[in-house]
Amino acid sequence: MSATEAIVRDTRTKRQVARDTRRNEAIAHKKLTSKGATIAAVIIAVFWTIPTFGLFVTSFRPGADTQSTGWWTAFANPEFTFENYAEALTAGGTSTTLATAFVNSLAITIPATVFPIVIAALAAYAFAWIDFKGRNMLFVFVFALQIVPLQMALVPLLSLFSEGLTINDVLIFPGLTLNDV
Amino acid sequence: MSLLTVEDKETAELPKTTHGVDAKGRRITQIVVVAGFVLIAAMLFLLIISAPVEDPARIALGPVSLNNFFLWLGGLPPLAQIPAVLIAFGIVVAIVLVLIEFAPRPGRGYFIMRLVACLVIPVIALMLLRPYSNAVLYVVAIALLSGALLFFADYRSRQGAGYLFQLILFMAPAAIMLLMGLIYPAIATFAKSFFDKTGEQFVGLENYIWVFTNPVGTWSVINTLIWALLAPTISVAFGLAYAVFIDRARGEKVLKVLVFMPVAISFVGAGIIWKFMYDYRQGDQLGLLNAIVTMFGGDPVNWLAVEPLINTFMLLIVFIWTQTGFAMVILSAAIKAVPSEQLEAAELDGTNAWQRFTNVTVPGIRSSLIVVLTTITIMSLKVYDIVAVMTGGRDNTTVLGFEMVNQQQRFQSYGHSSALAVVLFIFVLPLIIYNARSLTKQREIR
Repeated sequence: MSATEAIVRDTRTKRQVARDTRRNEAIAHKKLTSKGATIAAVIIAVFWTIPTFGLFVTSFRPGADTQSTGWWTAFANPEFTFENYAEALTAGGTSTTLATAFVNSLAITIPATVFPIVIAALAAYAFAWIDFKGRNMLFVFVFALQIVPLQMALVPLLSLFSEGLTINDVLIFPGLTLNDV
Repeated sequence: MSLLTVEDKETAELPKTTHGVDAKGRRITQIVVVAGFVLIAAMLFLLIISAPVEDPARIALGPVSLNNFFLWLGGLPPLAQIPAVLIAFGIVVAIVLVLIEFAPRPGRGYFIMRLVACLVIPVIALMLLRPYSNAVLYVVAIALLSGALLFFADYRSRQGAGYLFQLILFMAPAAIMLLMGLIYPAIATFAKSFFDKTGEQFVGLENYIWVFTNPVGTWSVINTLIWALLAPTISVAFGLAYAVFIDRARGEKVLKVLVFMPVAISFVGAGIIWKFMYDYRQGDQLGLLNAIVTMFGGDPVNWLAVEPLINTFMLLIVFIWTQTGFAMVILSAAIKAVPSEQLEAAELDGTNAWQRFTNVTVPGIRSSLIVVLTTITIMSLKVYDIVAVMTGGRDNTTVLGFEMVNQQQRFQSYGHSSALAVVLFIFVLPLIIYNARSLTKQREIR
């Protein structure tokens, strides 16, 4: 048996093994998933999508129609328009249109994403790499602070920003005077 | 950027003095630090009891103050405000990072750098808030004293000069934010819950008695408990079932996106979407649910007004609709991490799909399950938006989170609102303790 023949047989065996593995994996895969489960998943997905889909269809219907008939009737007698979008973007009911509201969203979203990540990264570095007394206790305490509901913080924060800090009738810090901004 | 770690510093040049390690030096340090704290507390006490002054002037460092920064910011066009805020924040972070990087090093120059930073930063930070003229002396004194104390404690710390300084700099931004945004409001709310509507008359436990006797208060407690029990169990059950169903199925990504979509919609948006579903009127129906009911010959139902509890369940469906996607995504990732060898081995042992699920998959994703359950429970305890948008708390659908804001804004009753907040806090407490305990256990294992 020559050396080349051995190599040829070797590669052939290798290919054979790879083919078998693939087939066995496919069989195992098939046994671990089932048709029934997929059908159940599709049904759940449809139920989960109907409400959003209804809103989506409604957004393209003329205003008068949305007040008189259900959104599913739009498929029987189709009448669609982009009017709702144009109106929402340019002339809102109040002085704030959707376009300016969108800029406001950006002004909140971007700093609200960047600031906590940077500040938390600094603290997390200390928690992970610097050994100090009471580290675990402090970590658990900080974690436990998520207990405070946001609504609970709103009133004290508002009064802190607008009226400043006054303890026992002694004025210490004034609030921010931003009324005319 | 290479930040100095403790390991690095041990190889660095150690201070020549021994006051950090020997017993006598440690005792002197402790005495001085305690005396410093007592002095600061005394200053605070003096500040609080000093005679009130009618409308004193505000002292600031020339035109430089936090107030003027916000005024300047407000004058900019809206889109320019975003980079301006980011740049200002970036400068502050850069200063902190430069100090962390350079100041802890040994050497005369760095010694002076630490000293200046300790004394100047607190003073500037407090002066940016424009203290009133009657408080300014105390404020500056307290700032200088705490800075000097920090410098002294740092200089004589066991791990060598610069160690404590670095630690404080890492922690200070987060600590200030937590103090201002969470700890102070929590304490203020707790204190207010013992005072009447206006917050001036001490009434003891009257507000808490109101919560548990007035129908509005009792309904908010009952409904919150229903939310906290049903919302996590049902949405995790759905999410887990769905995650198992779509695991390795064809079109998994599309199916995932469809159920995950409601997570991206805000609670307010979800409330509006479901108001469409529940819509109630005579004649032609706009709401899908009532359209189905009338199609089968029934009378349209005002879903959000059916008492008792049916309307709360209708609100719960909206919440479950949004949270199932969240549970599904995290559990799906956890299921993918369960080794398929184990599943195949169980399969070879002759187990059926249900046995594989309960004996292999569920133990494998236990920690993720707990995280998802506790997160959704906390979220359902704090729920506000869905109730506010869909029913406004009418027909006994109110929950603690909603009633808290309602009492304070509609009835101007800070006492009731704060008492509701504290009750909510007590409900969340066991969950946090549980989470914290499993967290410490994990940290100990590591």
